[in-house]
Amino acid sequence: MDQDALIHDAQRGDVEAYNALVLHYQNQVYNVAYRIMGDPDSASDATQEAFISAYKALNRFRGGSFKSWLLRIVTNACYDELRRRKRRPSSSLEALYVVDEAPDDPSLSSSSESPEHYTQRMELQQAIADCLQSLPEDQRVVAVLSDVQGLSYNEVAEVVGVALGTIKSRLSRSRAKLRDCLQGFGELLPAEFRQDS
Amino acid sequence: MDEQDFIRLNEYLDDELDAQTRAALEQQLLGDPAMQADLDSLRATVALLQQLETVPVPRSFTLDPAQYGRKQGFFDRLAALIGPAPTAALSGLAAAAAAFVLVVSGAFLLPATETNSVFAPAADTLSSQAEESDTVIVTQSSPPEEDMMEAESAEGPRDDSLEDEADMGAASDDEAADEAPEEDGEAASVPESAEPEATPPASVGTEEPSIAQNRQLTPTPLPTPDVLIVPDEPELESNRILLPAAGLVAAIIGVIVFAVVRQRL
Repeated sequence: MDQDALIHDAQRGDVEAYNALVLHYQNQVYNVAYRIMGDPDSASDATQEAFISAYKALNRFRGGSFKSWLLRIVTNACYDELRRRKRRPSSSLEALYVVDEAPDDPSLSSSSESPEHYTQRMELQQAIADCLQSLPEDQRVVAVLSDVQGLSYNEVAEVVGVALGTIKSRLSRSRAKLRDCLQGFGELLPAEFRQDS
Repeated sequence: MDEQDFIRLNEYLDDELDAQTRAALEQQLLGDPAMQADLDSLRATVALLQQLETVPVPRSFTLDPAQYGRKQGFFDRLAALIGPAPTAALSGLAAAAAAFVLVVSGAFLLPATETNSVFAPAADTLSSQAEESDTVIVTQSSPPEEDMMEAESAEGPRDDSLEDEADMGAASDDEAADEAPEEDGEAASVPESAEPEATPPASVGTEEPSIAQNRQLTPTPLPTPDVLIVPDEPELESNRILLPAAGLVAAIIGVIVFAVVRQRL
């Protein structure tokens, strides 16, 4: 994929070229939104909003990392949605009765995995996700970008738009809180984690 | 362990330390089991986070070309027709055209503001006709708001107003003679539309006498001059602003047109 050519064409209004970029990045963008927001519907909304906003603002992209630029837009979309939630907290009846379901991914339920192991794995996944959601927003965003998505400190600073020292501080605090939170799920954790803690 | 040490442990874990700091920290870890335990727990926490599985996207987030695609307009077809090579030449041509429009519009508009050519002949006509009709013209700057209607009537078609004012003056000769003493020695017969407190003459009626001179004319017995009050051209003042503003607007429009053409091409 010639990304620069696609960006150039998309900047001239070629939607098909832009859609090629969307298809390339939508998995990562959606997963960032999903880990920040904590639910698939909000993550979908934030992702769609981010891709539309990015298309409209494409002429303002002046080079650099297109991935970081996209992740910054989706992160801001998540922040906006979280602020809206704070202003208008709401809970639907449907949400009260929804039981978290495992993502519909074939890889998560391979035939070689025993049901017991699959259940333990899903519970651990849920425990980690719950601990992530317990973090303050700023720390959660940094933890998702750095530890879940594997971005470097500089990339995280570029996406979040704050100084490198602030990123280091937020990441340090988030990891300390996550460690304490995860220790509460001792029986779910791998042996090495229980021994270390 | 303070926060700075904890941050340094995270940097060590993420391989963000330079070689010298890294070596120093490793030495410190050898003699500090608590710090080593913190490092191990941090490493396990990060490993757990990295175990979070990627969630598949529930749907495609591609945009609908019918909704977001740009319609092929004239400039798109033109660009496709001529190809990318002449684009630079066309851009330069558009820039030259825009510059030409700016220069021509500036050359046309600016002299008009400098010489007041629009109003100067009218002022000369007024002066000459005033001399012929034995009328003294007094300029008045900034007429009061309540007198704006009369002032505007005085600024109307110059010849007509001159005649009207002259007629008024002739018709009110007797009245003026009676009213003159009541106006603190105001000798000239002043129509009601004129204010006695008129300021000294401004630039337009350059050859007309000032109010002080008019007052010196007071003892003059015959003929009683008719005084025509001519406001100090507020229109002229506004045009000194409006014409350069119009030039500026024309320049902005030219630049915008050029930018749009360049963007389209």
